[in-house]
Amino acid sequence: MIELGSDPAGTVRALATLRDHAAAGAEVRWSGRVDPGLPIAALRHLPPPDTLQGCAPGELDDWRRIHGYGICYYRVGPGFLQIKDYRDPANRFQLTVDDPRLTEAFLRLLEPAPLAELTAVTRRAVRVLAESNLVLVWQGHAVTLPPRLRRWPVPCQSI
Amino acid sequence: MRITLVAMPWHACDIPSLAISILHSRIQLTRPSDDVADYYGNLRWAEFLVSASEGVLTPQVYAGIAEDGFEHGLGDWVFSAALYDDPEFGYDELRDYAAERGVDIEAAVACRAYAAEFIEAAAEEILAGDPEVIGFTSTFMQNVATLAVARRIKRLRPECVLILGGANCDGAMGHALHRNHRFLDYVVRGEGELVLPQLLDHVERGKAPEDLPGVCWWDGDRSVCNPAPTRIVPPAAIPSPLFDDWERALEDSPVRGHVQPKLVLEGARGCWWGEKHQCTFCGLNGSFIQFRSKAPDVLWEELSTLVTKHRLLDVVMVDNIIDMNYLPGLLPLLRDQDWDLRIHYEVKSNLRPDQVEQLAAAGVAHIQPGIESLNSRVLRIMDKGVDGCQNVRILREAENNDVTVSWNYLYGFPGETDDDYGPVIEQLPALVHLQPPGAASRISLERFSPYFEDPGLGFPARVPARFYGYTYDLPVAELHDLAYMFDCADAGIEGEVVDRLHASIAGWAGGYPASSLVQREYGDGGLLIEDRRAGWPAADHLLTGREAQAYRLLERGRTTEYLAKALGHAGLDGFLGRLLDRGLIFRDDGRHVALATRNVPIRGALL
Repeated sequence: MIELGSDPAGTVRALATLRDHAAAGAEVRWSGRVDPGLPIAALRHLPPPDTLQGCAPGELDDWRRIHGYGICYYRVGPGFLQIKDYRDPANRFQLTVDDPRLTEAFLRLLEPAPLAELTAVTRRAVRVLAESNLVLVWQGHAVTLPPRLRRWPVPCQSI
Repeated sequence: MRITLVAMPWHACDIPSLAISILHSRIQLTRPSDDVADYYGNLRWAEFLVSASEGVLTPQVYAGIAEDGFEHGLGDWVFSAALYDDPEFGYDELRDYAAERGVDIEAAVACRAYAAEFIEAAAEEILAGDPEVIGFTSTFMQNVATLAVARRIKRLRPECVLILGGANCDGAMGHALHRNHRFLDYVVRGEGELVLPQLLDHVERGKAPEDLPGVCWWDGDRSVCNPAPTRIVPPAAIPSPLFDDWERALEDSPVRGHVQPKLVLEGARGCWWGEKHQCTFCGLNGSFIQFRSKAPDVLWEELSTLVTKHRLLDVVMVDNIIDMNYLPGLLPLLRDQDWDLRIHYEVKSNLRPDQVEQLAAAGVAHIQPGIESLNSRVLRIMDKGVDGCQNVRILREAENNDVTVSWNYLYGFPGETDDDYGPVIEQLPALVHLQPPGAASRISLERFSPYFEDPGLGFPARVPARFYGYTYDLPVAELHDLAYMFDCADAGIEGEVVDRLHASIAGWAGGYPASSLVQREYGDGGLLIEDRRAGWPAADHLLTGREAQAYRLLERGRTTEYLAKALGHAGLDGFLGRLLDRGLIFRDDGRHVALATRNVPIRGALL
């Protein structure tokens, strides 16, 4: 049972673990409980849980319906990151990030951290990234949500 | 001079035109005082369709016609109404054709309603840059949109010099395009890198291009066709393409949100296999099949510079076949960057497992290996230089390395028989865990292919493909020179075996996403093969000792004799028969190849 919300540090760590397993294409089975306020819709690229206590009716169904390999990921290029985000069917977007403050913050928070440990510059970048749900900030702790794409699916044009 | 280079529909909306991007660069290098701009009429048309149809004719509709319309000439037909000022031109003929063949023409008909208005707007927009010379490039379905806008421009501004080039102008096609369209001042047949700057020099000096190889020009009202160039363009004269205008055009376009932009690059021209053994059905190299390539470090420099500059990680290599020197020379450089590239490359299908692994590690996630058939006798008829087991092996290795394979199953080769298909069709269910062909298709007769050039090879009578008739208002004799695709009597298999092939491949495509056949090391030298293929009972097969050893040897296609010698043991027929019955090997032409993979890719569905 994964607790999402009540323990902020544990929550961002759990999300990072789910993110990395999803990126490897591994099958992940889990159940959890979620605090109200945690933005479930931002997690649809992670493997959906078997059960999730505390979520509103329909939210888990949406998660299962929308989830798929590669609906939200990033790729690394020379001096930039390419991000594809299809978590919200009504607002699918692709983004190229080349501002070093943003790319550094994005990559830094692949390893979850308390905001208090970040520099002021990184915290400002985190605010920008959080507006697009690329970084999740939960009660003073932050984690980057999209995984790096490590395996192309077949067909590779599907994502 | 002020020069505008134009790419018209139906050029794909997600890639720049390599032709105008290379020529732009070449003009800048050879004539630095010229002012060159690129016009992406394809993007403007995609935008025009969305706007004029109030969102009904989306970039997806555009892509559907651009990708699937060629064999029926649908994209060209859309613009023939504008070329001939006749909204009904070829309509009845297309409707009859579509009814006979079950072709969906609804999107093309809907697009055609806006074609004339768009051509008018495009002509005015191109002329707004006040060009003295306009160069058009035409490949596949760009002909009629190009002719329509060129004709309109000539009416609006007769003094503007119009030049047409591109693959559609190669050989006899170029002269036919020139002599039938008086508004085209020049047509360049063959590669443009050397001759275009020279032609621009002639235009500037008011000199007739009598001495320029491959150029068609007007001597009064007589269309003169200079002999084709005898010299190929060396790689040193092919500069790195300039994509700046394309990037701006796409960034400013509402189409941007609908496409995944890709870079297009060229490392090599021609075909090193085709130089010696041209595949009998292939006309893609046009009149120049001689292989030449850029040095690996030159291509690396181009690729890395353009990826960095345009911040794009998707790259389409247009080479008809990869230069094998790129495996040691280019791929390690790509692999050693920590970049998440997705590269498309055409390769020969006899690549070894370690070579497929090298490609995947370098970011070549998508290959087109020209598999065409899984039967060695048919592959020999087409002079492919590979056998059926090698083709199955590359499908297996693609699976092992998460590499996407694009291929088609081709039939209709003169001299093939039902016996070349029966044994393959029976075995296709065993391949259901490997990537299926996109389609099974009867081969087309293409200009420049050996089948076209030598009627004695099995296609003695040919006429321009029927779609040219409802696209161009020209006599058949002229179409014969203008056409790339031809209709001819069917050769090879027909009837029931064709239906069985299609049905079997449809079943393959349906079963693939949920199928796997994975081998794992087991105990002391054993192999455990887990069969989870659609259409097969779930089963775990354990091979030990000599059987496991034999199965490993079959990773390459092997004859029974080879296997017996390698294992020092005759009497393998029973063992091989059991493997065949369980669908664990594929057999063709006396060879057997192992089918189990070591990896199951993540299967995606196209969004």
